[in-house]
Amino acid sequence: MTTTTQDELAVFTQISLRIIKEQELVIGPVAWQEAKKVVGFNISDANNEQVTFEGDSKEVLNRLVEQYSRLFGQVSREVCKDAVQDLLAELPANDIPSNLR
Amino acid sequence: MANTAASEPNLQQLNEQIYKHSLELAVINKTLSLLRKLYQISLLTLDPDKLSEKISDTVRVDLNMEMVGIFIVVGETKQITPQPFSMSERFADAVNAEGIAWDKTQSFDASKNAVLNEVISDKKWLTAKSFQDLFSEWVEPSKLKELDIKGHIDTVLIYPLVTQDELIGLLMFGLNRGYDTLSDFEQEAISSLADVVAVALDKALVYDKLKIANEQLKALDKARAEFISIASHQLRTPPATIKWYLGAILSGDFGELSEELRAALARTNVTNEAQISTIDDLLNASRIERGKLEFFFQDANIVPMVTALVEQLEPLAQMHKQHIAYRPPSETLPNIMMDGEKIRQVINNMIDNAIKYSKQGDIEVMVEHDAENITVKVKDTGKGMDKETQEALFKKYSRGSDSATHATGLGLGMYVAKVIVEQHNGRIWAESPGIGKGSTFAFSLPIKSKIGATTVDLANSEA
Repeated sequence: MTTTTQDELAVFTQISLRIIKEQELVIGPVAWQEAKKVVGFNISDANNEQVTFEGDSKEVLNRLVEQYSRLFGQVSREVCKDAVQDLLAELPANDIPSNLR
Repeated sequence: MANTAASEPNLQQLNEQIYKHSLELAVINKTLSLLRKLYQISLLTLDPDKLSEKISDTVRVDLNMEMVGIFIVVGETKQITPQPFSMSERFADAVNAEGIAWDKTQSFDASKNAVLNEVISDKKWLTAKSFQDLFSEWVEPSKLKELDIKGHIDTVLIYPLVTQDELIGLLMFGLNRGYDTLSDFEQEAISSLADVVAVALDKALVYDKLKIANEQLKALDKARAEFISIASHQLRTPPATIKWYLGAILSGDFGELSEELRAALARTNVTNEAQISTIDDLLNASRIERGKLEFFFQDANIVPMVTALVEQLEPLAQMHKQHIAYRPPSETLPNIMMDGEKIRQVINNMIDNAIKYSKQGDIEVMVEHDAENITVKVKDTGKGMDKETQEALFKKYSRGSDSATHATGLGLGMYVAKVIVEQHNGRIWAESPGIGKGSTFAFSLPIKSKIGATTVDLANSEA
């Protein structure tokens, strides 16, 4: 498990929300329901986009992407990657979750 | 069990197929949504600066970019002028920190940069790695380098904005990633954007040109009105002097006059008065246009004024082999608040018109009243007019359909009369049973008027 700085956490939070909202455009509210099932990812207030991570944030993001790709295949993983390209560009290569590389 | 196990992969495949279809729809939907926003901006925004700013903002936010900017190509040249950019916070911070100014007061000669030159010459889109690659001719390269780093710029896309085969501008996107990392939606949206932005910008630029042309026309109109005013004052001085001397001569101040000479001078006086009246119309129309027609309202009786005017204009009527039949009210009328000089001009114009437009027969002048209004009517047996002419009569420079051959004047008298009467809260109108059946011109003024102001701004008055 790696430690996450506040700045990285802020970017991870943005990434998670961007992924869910992008999936929502394709599959509707199911995107939020699936995100709630991800271990270590807590949605306290979906309306106000309040989310928190438990444990290794990078791994939680990997699980979030995995949650969609398990159900909808590789294409959904590409959707996740496309949605956050500008945010990934801000992270050091080592900090990018493997499922988003 | 075997069936279930066999159907599971099928269900997964089905799921993925549905997802792919939904994704296609979502991409189309997002693209359309963005284009719809741009169309809305284009419809609701006419100012080129605001339009550029709103479009740039919308595109930057929807496509997660660091910077979106529009440049206008100046005429047929390769000079480009930046419109207000939309910038991410960090890009804006970097611009400020480096003291880089991109605003519409500047103009860049795009031919000095290979990429910009190619976009303009070939009207095709290109990419650059950084702003340093594009603007180092005009901005210190070290500053641009810092901007690229601090603003997280990895790629700059430059699109030509073309309408009807004419290049009108450039659309620039600053990205923090490569073009190949853009999603289908982003690539599709960007390729559609240039056309939409070009049309919107073209419309705004045309509007801007119209606005400027309109302002120039207004300035010209004002200058013309001022010229007419000055010229009219110059024109009025000689007949006013003649009027004064004629009055003195006819009053016997310069000695006894023979009947023959008196008659000749009286006719000269009538013609001179008509000339003064025409110049007064011109002066007043000019004052109306400049918003400088002043009113001086006083409590006065209209009847003595009408009586005096009838007496004064009778010689003119006689010169035209006509006679003014005056029908004063049978009882004393109350005073009303009016600008006597202006109302006198209205009545003068009405009687003068009746004389001009009638070949023969009497002209009737009547003063009537009811509980609320006093009405002055001038009825002639002249050529009459159709409905269309009646409606157009009170407009500036409007004259009867065959007035060019049958009457003199500038077509300002009734326009000025309408403005004057309406400033008295009154009403003016003309009626005729038809061509060849005579006309009646009339106006009424309220007996109990609330008029109090002495100066009225008529800058926007248009009959």
